[in-house]
Amino acid sequence: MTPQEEIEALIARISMGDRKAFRALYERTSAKLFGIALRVLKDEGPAEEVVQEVFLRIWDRAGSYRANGYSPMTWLITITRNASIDRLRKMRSRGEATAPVDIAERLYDDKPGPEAQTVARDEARVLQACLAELTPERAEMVSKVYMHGLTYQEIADDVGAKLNTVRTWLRRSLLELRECLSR
Amino acid sequence: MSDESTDLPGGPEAEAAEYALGLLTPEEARAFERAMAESPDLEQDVVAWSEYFATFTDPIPEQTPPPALLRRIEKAAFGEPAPSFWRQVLPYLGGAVAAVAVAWVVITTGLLEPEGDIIVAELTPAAGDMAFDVRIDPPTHRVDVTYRAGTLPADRVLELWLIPVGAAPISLGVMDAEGVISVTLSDEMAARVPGGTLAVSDEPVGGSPTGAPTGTVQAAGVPIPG
Repeated sequence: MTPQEEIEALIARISMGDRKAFRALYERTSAKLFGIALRVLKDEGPAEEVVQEVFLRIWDRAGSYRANGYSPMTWLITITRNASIDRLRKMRSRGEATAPVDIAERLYDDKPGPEAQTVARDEARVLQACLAELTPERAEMVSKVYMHGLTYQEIADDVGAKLNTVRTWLRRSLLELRECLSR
Repeated sequence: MSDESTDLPGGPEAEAAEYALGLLTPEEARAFERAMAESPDLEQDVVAWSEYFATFTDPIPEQTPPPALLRRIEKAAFGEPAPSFWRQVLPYLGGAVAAVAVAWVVITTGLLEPEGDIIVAELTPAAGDMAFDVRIDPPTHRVDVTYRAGTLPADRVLELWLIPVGAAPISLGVMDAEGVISVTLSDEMAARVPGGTLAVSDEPVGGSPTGAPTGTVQAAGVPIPG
């Protein structure tokens, strides 16, 4: 089995209530998912809570995985990223998190891990190539929205433009991106 | 689709990307989900965006979470682990605790059994609702335990244990399908009954595979002569 098939098999067993499979999936993916939550939240306590929330959701809803057509790691990463962003936005609205881009960002800069030495997978290469066709600030905006959960309002405040203006140019950029990605 | 988005470039295709990025307001997101439910193409768009955007996380190094996290998650997912055998019988151990926790019926039945004092006691429900009557005839060392009430877990058998003071449980045997067992103890074993606890656990068919209780304690009690 490929690693992807192995993770899919674990998810299938979890949907039938297999606790050993649940632990196996945790051992296999929690470091990646915790890394992502930590990157978004920059605080271990909330990051642990997000990982807990993610695995409880997996335990409860593993059965829904098959229906939507995601590859298994994308499914797990997307759940983790979305839960992290939700959490970050709540913390920001309560004043518990600092502005989306701050000095802490530098503290968590990527250290060259094992991934850095591996060749980027196709989707990553294609996305980077297409982002490079946008203006650098718009390309950066897309990745910041994904990794930092920036809202249109925050971007608008940041660049001093109206929300709908920002939304119009970001949507145009996303369409250009889509056009490039589907080539 | 919200009215607002119709003024914006890109239509539903751009909105699929916004949805994948989490840029829609909650109301817009719900409206988009309704549209997506009727359009497989739109759903495919969201899946494709998610696959691409997930690569933003590729360079992020793995970080092993603290070991306590898995324990917390498993506890939250599976509920509390079954308490150990000792924790289950703890309320029954020791006279003072037993007097409170266990409803005792101890009768000295000289009238019925002129030969000696029969000890009659009951094993009261621990985990479930099972209860048993106990009858011990000291002179013959005969112990009879009979089912009185409750439901046996499916596909399990009941096993009777003697837990002498300060010692590990000793199996007195597997009960029959009606929840009845009669055993005659050796002199040596009978000497360990006073102060000891009797407990009934559910076990795999054939009885505990390990020689020690492996299932849940269903009922327990401490026989005390009147």
